[in-house]
Amino acid sequence: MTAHITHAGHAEGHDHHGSEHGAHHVNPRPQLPETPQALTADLVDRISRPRLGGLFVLSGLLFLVGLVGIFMKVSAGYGDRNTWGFYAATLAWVLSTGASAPILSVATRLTKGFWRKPLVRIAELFGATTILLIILYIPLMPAIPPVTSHVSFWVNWEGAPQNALLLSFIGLALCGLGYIYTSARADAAAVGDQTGGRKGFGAMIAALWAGTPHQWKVMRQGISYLASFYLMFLVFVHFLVSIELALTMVPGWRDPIFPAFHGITGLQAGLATLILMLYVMRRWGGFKDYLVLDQFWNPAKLLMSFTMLWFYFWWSAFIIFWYGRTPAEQGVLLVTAFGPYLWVFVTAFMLNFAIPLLMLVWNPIRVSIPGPVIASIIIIIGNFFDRWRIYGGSFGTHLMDGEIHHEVPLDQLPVFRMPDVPDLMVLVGAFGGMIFLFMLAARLVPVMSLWELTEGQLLTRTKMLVKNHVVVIGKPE
Amino acid sequence: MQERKVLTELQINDRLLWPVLQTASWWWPAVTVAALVLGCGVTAVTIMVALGEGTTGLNRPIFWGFMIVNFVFWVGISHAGVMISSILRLCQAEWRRPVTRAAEVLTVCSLATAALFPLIHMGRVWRFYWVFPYDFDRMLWPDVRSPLIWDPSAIFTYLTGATMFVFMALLPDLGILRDRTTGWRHMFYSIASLGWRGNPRQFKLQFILGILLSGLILPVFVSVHSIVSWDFAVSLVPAWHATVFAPYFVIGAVHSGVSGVVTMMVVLRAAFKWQDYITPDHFDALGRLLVAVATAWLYFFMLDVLFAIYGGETKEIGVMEQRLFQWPWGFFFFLIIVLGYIIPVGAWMFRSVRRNIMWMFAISIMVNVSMWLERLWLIIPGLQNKERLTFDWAVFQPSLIEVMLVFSSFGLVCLGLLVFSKFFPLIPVWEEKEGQIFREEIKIGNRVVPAIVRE
Repeated sequence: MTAHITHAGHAEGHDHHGSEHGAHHVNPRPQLPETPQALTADLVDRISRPRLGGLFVLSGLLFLVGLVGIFMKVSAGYGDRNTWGFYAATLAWVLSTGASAPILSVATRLTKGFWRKPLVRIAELFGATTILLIILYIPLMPAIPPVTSHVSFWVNWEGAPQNALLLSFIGLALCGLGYIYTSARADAAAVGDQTGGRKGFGAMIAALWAGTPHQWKVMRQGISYLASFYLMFLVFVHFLVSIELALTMVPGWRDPIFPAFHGITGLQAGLATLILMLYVMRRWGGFKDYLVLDQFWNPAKLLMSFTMLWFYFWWSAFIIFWYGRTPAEQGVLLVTAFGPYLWVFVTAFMLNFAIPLLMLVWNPIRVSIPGPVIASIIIIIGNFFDRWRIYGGSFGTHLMDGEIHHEVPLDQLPVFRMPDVPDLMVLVGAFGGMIFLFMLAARLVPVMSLWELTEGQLLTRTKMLVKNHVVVIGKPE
Repeated sequence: MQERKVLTELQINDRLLWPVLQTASWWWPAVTVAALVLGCGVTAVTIMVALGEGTTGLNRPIFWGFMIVNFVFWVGISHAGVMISSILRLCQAEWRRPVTRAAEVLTVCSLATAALFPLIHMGRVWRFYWVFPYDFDRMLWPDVRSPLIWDPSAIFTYLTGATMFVFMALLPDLGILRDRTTGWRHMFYSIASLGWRGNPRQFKLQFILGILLSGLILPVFVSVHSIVSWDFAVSLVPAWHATVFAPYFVIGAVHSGVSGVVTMMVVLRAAFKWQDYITPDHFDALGRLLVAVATAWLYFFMLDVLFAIYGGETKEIGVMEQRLFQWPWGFFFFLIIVLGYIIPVGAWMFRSVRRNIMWMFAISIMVNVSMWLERLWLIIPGLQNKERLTFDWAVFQPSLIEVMLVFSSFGLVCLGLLVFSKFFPLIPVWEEKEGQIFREEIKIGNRVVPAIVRE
């Protein structure tokens, strides 16, 4: 390693105790090697020494356990739709955590947030977890009720929801993988060129990359388009999943905010997933000098906003149902919140809203590294409970008997179902699968965006203003 | 921000304070026109109070018409100030500086205007205090479970918060004005500036207060339009009873409010010759922001429409059929989509349009025409139930009185802004000066790149 790393670590020691303004007295930004060449050399050195091998193997094993769980679920058959509620919740949880994590990269790229540079690639690599959605979804397809059995957006177009969902998952996966490929080309070339020639998978990604102005222009435009597409696709997939796997299964559930609630809470959990992975990469991945307070504090502000939005969107629906109090609305409230899944809902409410908000609203916790990480873990768990109460209740509603119902009779509420062993295997496997696919992508593609960090370094200066050292950031666009 | 002119403090003082210290030739004619327009409204209210609400087009079953539409519209416009000022301040967006004050004042003026409409709509305006639990003898207690009661609380909280927001940011400028005026004006600014000396401690406190107020006012900002939406949505009126109304109203408010700010900025730029301060860069940034806001608005709008149809309930379908296919509602639907999304977003995708002042002016007005129609389209058809005995759809025909009221509300807001501009600078002088200090340039290779100082 040729670069000299200045004391990045010392900043964080004080950051835990500082107020929001106090945090400005220490430098919360990465202290990078002083020249672009040194920075690239340092990053290449770190990237070419893969770590977290144990986690990679362990997550792979868990993924295998999940595949066995899926096999056991399919073997048990589709006779009782209620048995697939927990499974569907797992699918929705993967969509809300792993598949939604790239959104911070998308949002900060579109808004040109400067603090994004060390974390965008880690966020993008979660695009690989979209493959898991396809793997989880295919066994679930036969459990989706036919459109003729309930009120549907598809009228009587048989097979439409199943196929639409499959196509949307494939589209999201292609978009996610394309996003990784487009942004990583220059870095794969740089790593290859600095480590004795382009070879293997990196060479495939970096193929024909010479760093010409035209290629850079195309790459930047491609990133913008793919980022926008990914965002739109993700919103669309949340819309479809929430409608086809939950809302239309519960008669009388006419709730236009629900797809938006699903999407917003998905973004909350996606952000939490990313923060957790940032911590893993910082603590065990060898990027302590790059992932500093700025990369936790700024996402934590967003996480707090999304935590409030969780409540706002939930409350917006709840108050209308509570005031309307039609039989259909009472049925929906009982199925999804206050009926058999009450304790699941209360847990979700506490873990998604009450506890994280109380934590993040407090400056010493928000303006720190461990604080947002702990809040993120709570939110990731809470998001699963939230999905469980929604999909457990929806799949447990047995009113697909050939007659179109317009409300859930209060004496026919779904029965609470505890997950069995295959369910838990699938859940554990989904968690392992997300980590495995991320780690696999991180081994194939540079986990840090070299070109963006180099660009950031070129655009950053420090100067004295009155009696303080301040950072000057270039804004070429 | 690429277009940056280096300005001295003296130049900034001269340029931004002249509307306060001198009177522009157009100012009195503009005030006269605004007052005349407002006079139409005063006349209309006088006639309505004297003769009763029969002078309006309101009748069974349509009890909420233009006045409530206008109320929702102006509450929507009032969301501009907080959106621009508070959120951009928290995000440390540099381009906010010349925009914030005018946006905040627009908030205060439009909110005050909005608050008048439910009062006027009551007919017996002198009984407005009945919404408060005032009379122990009569045991007259308003129903606290009703959003109609939450509404005044939310609006007055927002009005108070927004006024404090404006005042807090005005303090340094009031100090500057105090030092440049004589006579009663000097006395007025001396009292208003609360002893501002511009020392580091005062600036630090003012900075902290700005951040705190920005954070605190955001939940109020969201709650105001959410509660306005619940005025409609908690009832069982077909097409109103939708869970999406709260965020849909809020995002619609931001859409119309930020567009309103664009309109106002074009006018200010031309009227006060502030070309060095309000540059095409600002319109570019607002245009990009509006693309995101408009798309989110369309998403919620389409969710509302889709789910009204999805439920398959006869009454909902009946209202949606009217809204989509009957004259004039079908035409309004077309206009809402075309003027509120297709043309604006289609145009804002082009940088050249975003940086063209006249295009931005025209499009921002187009958006607000669409948003006014959208409120009309949301509110009226839901009430046009079939009459029980005649089996006909009720029809709402606004009277001249209501049209005059709508028209005059624009006069009131303009008058408020004009009067404010005579006493206070509409671009924060101290923020512009701070912006000059934070502006930098760095050299990368042969190229000089604009830069900003980050704390």
